[in-house]
Amino acid sequence: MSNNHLLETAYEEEFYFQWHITNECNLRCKHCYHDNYLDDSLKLDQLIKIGNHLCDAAKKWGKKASFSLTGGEPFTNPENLFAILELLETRNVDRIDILTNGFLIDEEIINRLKKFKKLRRIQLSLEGLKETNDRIRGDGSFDKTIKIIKLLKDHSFTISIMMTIGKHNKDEVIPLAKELKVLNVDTFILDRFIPEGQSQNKKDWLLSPEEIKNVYSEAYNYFQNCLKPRFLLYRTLFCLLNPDDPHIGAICSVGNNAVTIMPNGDVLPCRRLPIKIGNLLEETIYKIWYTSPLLWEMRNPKNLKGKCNNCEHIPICRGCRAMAYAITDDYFETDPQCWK
Amino acid sequence: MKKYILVENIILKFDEVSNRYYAFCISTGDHFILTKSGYFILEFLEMGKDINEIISFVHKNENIDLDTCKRDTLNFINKSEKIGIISILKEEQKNDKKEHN
Repeated sequence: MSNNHLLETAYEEEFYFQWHITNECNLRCKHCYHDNYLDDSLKLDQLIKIGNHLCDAAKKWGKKASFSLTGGEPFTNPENLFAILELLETRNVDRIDILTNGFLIDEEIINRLKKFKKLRRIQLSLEGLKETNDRIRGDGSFDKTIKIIKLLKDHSFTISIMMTIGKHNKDEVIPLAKELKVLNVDTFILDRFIPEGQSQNKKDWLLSPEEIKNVYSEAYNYFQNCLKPRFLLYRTLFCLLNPDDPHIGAICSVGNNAVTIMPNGDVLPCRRLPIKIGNLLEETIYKIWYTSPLLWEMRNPKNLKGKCNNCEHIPICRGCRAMAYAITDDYFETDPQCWK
Repeated sequence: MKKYILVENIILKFDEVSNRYYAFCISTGDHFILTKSGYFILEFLEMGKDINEIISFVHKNENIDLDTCKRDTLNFINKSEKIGIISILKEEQKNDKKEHN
């Protein structure tokens, strides 16, 4: 009998919590994966209890806790956000990211953020150049985001920009990357558009495997000669570009070393895989992590179907289960955008 | 012989991917990696099987003599009780007290 404190099913050093602290949002982006924007946040004492519990769990598992705090828009309730930051700053947390549209960030907020040593980066979003971005995120949103990037960089924050790619913006990856370089943005993240939540009727935005291949390849080649921003691909498939380059992406973390916590305490395997596996007001994260049938199914690559089953890239890929679920209703099906 | 049950917050799990047997505590997060025999000993205890029956099962599945098997099985059960994976059935505890008195 061994009481090895490593959680055997999680082989990464880090445990990642993506915590949506509110659904409330000041924007209504057309590609958004949220299905409601009601302010149904938990009370602060409940949030603090959950935060402490998650930190305890990471400690128990011998993992570095990493948090992304987001929403909705997390700055719609700054008091809750700052109280959680205060808590995480004092706990066994390795790093904190804030995923925000940035529109509510001002000098006062910036001065409050500065004291958090564990705040690694602030992630904003742009969906292309001005016209395309504003069509998706709202009029004037491109200029506002650029202004916020400049303000945050003036105060030496680390900034990443996420772009969610679909048919509507696939030709603007490199032009946007060039603009971000001028702004000294640190990381440029490409994510794949998944039609769900507000955007579930936008399946025509989905790129074909060939189109994804072209966008990824073009971006990968461009960033080979570009020190900054750093290029990062979310949602797997990056291994098809260069399986020997571990720096451009990460294996899907579902069932491995991450969970998503929703504003009401519901736990999802991933924000883009909207299947509830528990609720932190009713049960421990341990119970969810150790007993969720979905998580155990996900941990077993034998369950993968189609092209993903027996693929030589299984150790570093497995495709995006959320994409498979959104398109086929079966999260074990082939990643619909895989071009292999 | 005493009768044992799994402590309420303990669950047993075989993971096909790692080919490992676990006991998980869903309240404290503790987890223990078990041998196959250890896993089945705990499962059989939970099912209410008699300890002699369990020893006989382990003996059939391990290449060891009966005395060693008995000693190891009882040691395992004692250790499992000490670290809080199993506990003595309440009725058994009452019987124990009666015997002491």
